Amino acid sequence: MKMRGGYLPIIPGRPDRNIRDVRVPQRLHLDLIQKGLVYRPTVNDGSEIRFGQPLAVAEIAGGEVSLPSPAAGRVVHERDNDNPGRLHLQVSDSRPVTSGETLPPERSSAKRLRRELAQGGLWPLIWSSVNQGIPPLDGSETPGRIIVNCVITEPFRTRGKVVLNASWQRVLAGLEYLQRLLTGYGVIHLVLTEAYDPLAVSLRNEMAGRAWIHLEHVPLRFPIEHPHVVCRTLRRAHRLPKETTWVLNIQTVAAVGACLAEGYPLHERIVAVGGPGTATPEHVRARIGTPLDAILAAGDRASDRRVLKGGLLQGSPVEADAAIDTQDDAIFVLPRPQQREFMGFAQPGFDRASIMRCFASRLTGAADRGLTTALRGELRPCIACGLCEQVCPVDLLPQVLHRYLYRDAIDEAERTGLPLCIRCGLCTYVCPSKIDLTHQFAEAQERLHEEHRAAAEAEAEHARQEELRKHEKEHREDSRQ
Amino acid sequence: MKWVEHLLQRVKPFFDEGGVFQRFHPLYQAADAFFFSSREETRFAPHGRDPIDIKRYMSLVIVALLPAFFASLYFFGPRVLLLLLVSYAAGGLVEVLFAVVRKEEINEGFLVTGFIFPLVLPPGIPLWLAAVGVIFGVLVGKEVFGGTGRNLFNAALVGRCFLVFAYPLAMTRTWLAPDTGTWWQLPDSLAAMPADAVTAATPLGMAARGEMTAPLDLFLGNVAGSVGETSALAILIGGAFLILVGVASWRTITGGMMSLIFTAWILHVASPEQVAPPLFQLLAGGWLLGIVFMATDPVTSPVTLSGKWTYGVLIGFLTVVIRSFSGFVEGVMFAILFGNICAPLIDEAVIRIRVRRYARERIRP
Repeated sequence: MKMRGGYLPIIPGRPDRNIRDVRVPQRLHLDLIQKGLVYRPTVNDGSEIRFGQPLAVAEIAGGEVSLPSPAAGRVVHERDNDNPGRLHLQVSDSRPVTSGETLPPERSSAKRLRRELAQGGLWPLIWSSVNQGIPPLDGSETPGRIIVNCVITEPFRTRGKVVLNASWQRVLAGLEYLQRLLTGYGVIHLVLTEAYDPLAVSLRNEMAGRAWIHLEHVPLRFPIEHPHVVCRTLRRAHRLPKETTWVLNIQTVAAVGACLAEGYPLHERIVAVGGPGTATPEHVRARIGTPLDAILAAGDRASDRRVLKGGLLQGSPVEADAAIDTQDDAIFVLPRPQQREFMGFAQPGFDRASIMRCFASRLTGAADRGLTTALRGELRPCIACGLCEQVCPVDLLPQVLHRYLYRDAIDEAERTGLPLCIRCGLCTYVCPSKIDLTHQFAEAQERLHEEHRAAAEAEAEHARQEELRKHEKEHREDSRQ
Repeated sequence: MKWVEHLLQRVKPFFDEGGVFQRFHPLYQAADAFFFSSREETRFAPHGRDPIDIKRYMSLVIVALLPAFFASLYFFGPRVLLLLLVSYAAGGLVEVLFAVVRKEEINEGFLVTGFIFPLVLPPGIPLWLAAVGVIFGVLVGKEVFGGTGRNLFNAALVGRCFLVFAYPLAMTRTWLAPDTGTWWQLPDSLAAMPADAVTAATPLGMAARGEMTAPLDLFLGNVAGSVGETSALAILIGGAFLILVGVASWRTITGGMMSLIFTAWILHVASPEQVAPPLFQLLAGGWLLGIVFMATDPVTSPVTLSGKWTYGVLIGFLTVVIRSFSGFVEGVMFAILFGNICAPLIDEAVIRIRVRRYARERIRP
């Protein structure tokens, strides 16, 4: 499939394929506010709980999803310096226990699968093209297609190959179960990079005879793993009509397999720890709720580093007490700049890699070793170089949007596609004028959202008033008669 | 490197708040930014950034201009160097003045404008005229719009356009034959054109009278013409470099080249006595210098990538038309300035088309 825009910078500190198991710590920290969902605790302070027992539930359209306990232990509320959006778990037994209630895929109904996935904490990891978010739980939406994405390009999130190597059987099982959620002739698209990769070949052999699996190949460019982008790319490549499509990444499918075939709820994540600031780039398998201090080496948390959760391009800096949550798969350690460089712009640049072919690293293929949290340039007005348009994966004109927002013309910006921005951060990454485009767009999107909400409210209020007036008028007419 | 840092540290108090040269803080800032990388760190995602910055971007343009500059040194002698110094000094003055008044930083864009400007002048032009031209260009072409990034017109071309209309004689009678400027004439050439310099007609001027110049001379640059435009070879080397590193828009250049060749070919076939053949149009005059270095000025060309195609095509077409059917023998400058005017319009058209697509995309299941 051909992908529009996108760009993959060469970043040093790429974790290798081996996975290190992190010992489950004495205490786990579970965030109750995760990726837009607000969980309500269902357990009391001090209560003893089993592995997999729901700790909290969150309301979504058509039902409730739960946050299963990643270990057995006792719930602790630290009252004094407590973060209200957080549960703590004093671990007594960290062994995962299967629920034992599993059915083979051919005997599982879609309803049962949805319930299991919601209880297993996996439902929120599914992305639906209808509302660009979590699909409803009540079965009102059946996907015609499910896209399973193995290509993960963000530096550095856990790569598809790492997951496939670690949990081949679970992925296959997960696919079998997911197929039950599809409509009649629904299809699962498995998105891979190259056709001749050994892993792709064995996947193809494994999938032979399963007509409902289609293998797709995409270029290795960020942000192909973004559900909206992969969905769009697929639709364009095959000229598909717009229909309900769900997107899952490969790690979610492995967890779906573990949940439905073996009875383990979502309790651990494979997390990539990488970046130029870390001494040992690696993949780790960590229990959900493990504090980052238990994963990172001591030096990585020093004050001369910045630790990002979610990768280089989309990640955000972590707080001191951050822990792994249910959707984490990337920790990026970025050093802070130590000294100012002398006439950096005049140097050949063997140690820096850029989207423009103007550094010597193009000849050697070297990684961007100079990457730090520095802005790497002065803030300047937009010179309309067009790099942002070139990399935009959703066909926007970031430079034009910037011009509109610069003169506060938010309505023009909205017409020109501002709501379609997925905040992938590429335009900001490549901008030679160092303009914080993504931040600007995100702010404007919030503002638009707010305005629309206010407008809808005002309209509703107006309608109510109108209704009231009509009633009064009728009443008056009635009384006159 | 250390001593630069020490020096900057030493003079810093003078330029800081309360110092003697407090008003000239932009000067200090410019020197600081020139020698050392920015101090700033990212505040928002993405927290790491690409190493490309405006300084690198602009210095690449200057590197690409060097072959043309050296070729002009070879053909027209040390006067070219003088013109460059005058251009930088006079234009820099305006730039600094505006930065001081506006309390803004000095932008790197001027380094390119100041370098290109002498290359578009006739080599025999008096130095004071060059100064007047660059001052007008930077002032009216750029600073009144708010500086680099906000200007509507290419500043160097605005300066040249002003000179063409305000001092038409100086701009048309000071073409020198190549190899006339020699290094020992430096003192003579300070004020005006050296007394014994040989003036010559430009290839386009000769073509208007029906005399064609040999393509090889045009290609190598052994002809009269503006300082930097004579050697097609040198410009092509610079242009190839710019496209290779990705600074110049290959869309503008390709669009312009194809349009010029096509238009010239069609019109040449239609009326051979009025329109010169495509190869001549391509190599003679300021076409190559214009399309490679001026039309690709990102700020004054359309901001959208598809708009850049249209822009190049428009410039190529207009160049041939002005050269062939107007009183001016050279039309590149007017074509590019006209392209600058049309750039926002072209963008608007591109945006309109996009808006329609976005409206369709908004409704999704």
